[in-house]
Amino acid sequence: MTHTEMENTLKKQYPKAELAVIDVTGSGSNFEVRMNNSAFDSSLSRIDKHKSIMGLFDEQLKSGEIHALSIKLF
Amino acid sequence: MSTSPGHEKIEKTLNDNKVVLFMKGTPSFPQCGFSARSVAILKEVGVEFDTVNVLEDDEVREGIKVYGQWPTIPQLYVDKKLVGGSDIMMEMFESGELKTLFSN
Repeated sequence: MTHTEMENTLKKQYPKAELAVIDVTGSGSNFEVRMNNSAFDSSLSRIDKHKSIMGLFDEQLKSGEIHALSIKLF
Repeated sequence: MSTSPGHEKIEKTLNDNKVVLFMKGTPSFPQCGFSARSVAILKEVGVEFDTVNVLEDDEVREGIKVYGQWPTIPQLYVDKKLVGGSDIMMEMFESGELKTLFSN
């Protein structure tokens, strides 16, 4: 999975978000997602925001295709 | 209620310990950068914590992902509740929330 594919998946789910996906090691398995907090429903807790992002990549996380997914909300 | 592999072991660990970090490796020999960072944060906060090395137990390694519906490791539990992974720990450390959490 490429960082562009991940960005497209995220944009589909959060059309108004400012977001960036960084391929941390350049190996296609270690990513950092950066997104603005205001893209989420404000009633969601921090842990639920992280879960909702990780949920989009559940299959890749389970298979090990994505080894690490770091999430930075600002 | 659905049970995952390792569910009972996880529940027992959480019942017996207030602060538990599920990690890869041990505090002295972490096997992953994110686990190492989580240990460093907890040490910096100065809280007593127990760790579970998921690399030593496949049932717990898979079970913990299902248990708290959190797909990655490390994971921090306090009072049987999932606090989050290393990003959330870092955020809460920087904001001072982590310290507050342990002072209660």
